[in-house]
Amino acid sequence: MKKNFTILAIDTSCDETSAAVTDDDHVLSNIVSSQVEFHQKYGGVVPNIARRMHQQLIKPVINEALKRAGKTIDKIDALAITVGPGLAPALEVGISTTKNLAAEYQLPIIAVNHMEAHLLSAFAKNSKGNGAFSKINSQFPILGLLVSGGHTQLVLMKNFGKYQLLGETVDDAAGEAFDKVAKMLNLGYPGGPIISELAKQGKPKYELPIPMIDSKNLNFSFSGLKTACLYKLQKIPQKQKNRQFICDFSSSFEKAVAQALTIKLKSAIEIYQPKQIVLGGGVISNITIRREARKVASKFGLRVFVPYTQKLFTDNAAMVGVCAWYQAQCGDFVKDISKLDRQPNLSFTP
Amino acid sequence: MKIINLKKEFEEKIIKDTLTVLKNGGLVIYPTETCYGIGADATNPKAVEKIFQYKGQWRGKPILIAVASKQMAQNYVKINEIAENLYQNFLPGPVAVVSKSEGKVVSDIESTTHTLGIRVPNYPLVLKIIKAFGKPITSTSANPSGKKTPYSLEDILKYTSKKRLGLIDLFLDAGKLPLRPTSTVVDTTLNEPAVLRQGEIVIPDIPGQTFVSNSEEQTKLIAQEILEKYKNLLISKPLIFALQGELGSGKTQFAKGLGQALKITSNIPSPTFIFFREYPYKIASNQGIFYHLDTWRMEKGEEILDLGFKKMLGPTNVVAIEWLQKVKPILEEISQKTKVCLVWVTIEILSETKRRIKYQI
Repeated sequence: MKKNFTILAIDTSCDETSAAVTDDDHVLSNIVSSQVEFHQKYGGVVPNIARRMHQQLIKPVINEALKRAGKTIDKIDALAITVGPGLAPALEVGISTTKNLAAEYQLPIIAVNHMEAHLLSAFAKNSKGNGAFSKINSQFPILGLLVSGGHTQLVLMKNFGKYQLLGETVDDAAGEAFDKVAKMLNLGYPGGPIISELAKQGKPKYELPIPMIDSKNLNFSFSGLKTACLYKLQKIPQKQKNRQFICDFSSSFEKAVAQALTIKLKSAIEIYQPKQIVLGGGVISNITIRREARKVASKFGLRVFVPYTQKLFTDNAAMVGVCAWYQAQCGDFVKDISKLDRQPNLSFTP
Repeated sequence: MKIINLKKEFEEKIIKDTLTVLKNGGLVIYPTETCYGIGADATNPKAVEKIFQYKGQWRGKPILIAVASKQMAQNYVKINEIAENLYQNFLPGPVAVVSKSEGKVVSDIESTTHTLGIRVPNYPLVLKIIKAFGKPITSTSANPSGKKTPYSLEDILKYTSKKRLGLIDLFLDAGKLPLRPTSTVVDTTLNEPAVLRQGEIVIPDIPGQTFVSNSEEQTKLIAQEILEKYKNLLISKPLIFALQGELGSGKTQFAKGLGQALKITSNIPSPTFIFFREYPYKIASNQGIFYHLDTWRMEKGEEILDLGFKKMLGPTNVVAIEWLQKVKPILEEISQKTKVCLVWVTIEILSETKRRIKYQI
């Protein structure tokens, strides 16, 4: 395969419309039409707006990604597109746009698993070649912990393209629990990041159950913690719910989530003895969760790798481009573009 | 006021005389399985005006009508699934079913929200009269507002002024009626039947039922049991489970139970972030897709349509919707226009481990 393989990557898996240009594993541009303004303006993510925005924004986002990368489309070697998991009607917008571009410019397509892209986000490097793995080589097996609004997964990576799903949430994702508890605390939507901020000013005074602590598998569950928060908050009189209380409660909740994640991370390390740990997903922005994960890993003498920029934590197309580059090296291109379709329930298959 | 003793007169003659009065916009007092009612042509404004004069009640208060059958009722109201159920189970009988009016009766007898209450009296002679008349008649108790409910001619003569008695053309005298309470009035235009007036008949959760769950596992089993009851309908229409209940009440657990009943082996996590997930299923009698939706992150209910909701409503599909308050009006509209079986499920938190689960179609 040629050097400097340039990919235009697109991701429309749920709320975000994103496009990126990557050169091998170097990110040249990564445009995310973050719709947080829409969340706040309209009080929640609105699928019709989300979808219409994908349709309206996808062209401008692609053009911006090319422009920022200093590329024109004739310099692109391949297109990468997220085919799942995700929201079916949202995925469709990205896929149909990609098919049209492929036909118009005679480009091959690489179909990408959104969660695999999150897993490989730590392997991304910036345009100067700096990234989490720029000075250290990857050593397999690598254990991945992916935590976001829609997913909470532990994945064993035996090599690029070789994965085993070890555990995932059986009910709510960790990020969803953050948003729902934030709603209980009247912090608006999406309140997860606000909880993380407030937790910094609080102490974990309140005792909350650590979900799935006794379970013998590597799955997660956050709906029990959510319900425990609800009962706890119902018992506390309204006038006691001042700012300090909210900070302390946020800190307590965050600690419970971090423990739920790290207990399973620890078990997975013991069972599968990975050489390295990678983290991915929007909830990884939470510093307590990152710190606790590092603590656990260091007990086993393991290093934890996170993407070089926060922009790679949440949904974005650069991680899709990097993932696609690894796939391209194995010749993993879409053979029959006409048959390319969304896979909303796509998972890691061994 | 002419009085006909029903025991002494031929039926044909009674019917003929009554029709003459009704056709001329007159008032007839007639017996029912509850008390005596007062009837007038419900489509004749002048006749209805006389009823209001006789009753002396304010105009905003709706008046029930009596029809001969469900077929006849369909000309005057929209009968939804809840109403359908009541017609099947209780009519003819002392139950009045309130539905959306088609606007074919005098508007004063409808409610301010254009609903109309319908009775099918369990009194063969009255049904024959209405059938022969071909139009509904009013079905309000034959006493002026605030006076004693009449069970005999004496009751009426004793408690009604001469002026008011002068408005009545005909009295069909069946003697002293058993002292049965007036009909139970049930509003079916809301998502759960609401009893507006409790009569003799107590409407149970028909065909619904109430369960108490003591654990997440039990919630799943209850969901399976409920699905089991409606499974056979899947041949011709989709089943929609509208799940109501606050945060943490166990809506996702209920959906997991539905998934188990449909023999779906993959995990069914919360669809909050992604809005909906789909799972193909195959059971002995059927195969289709199980859709699990969640509107928590939606601002407006209409957004469900952008997710392709109508396409999900093919026969054999099972749809579970969490946080359905936002989409309630859309669901109600769809359930009237489209062939669907809509099951309303309410999960109430009784304590940290106990839930009350009610369901109703």
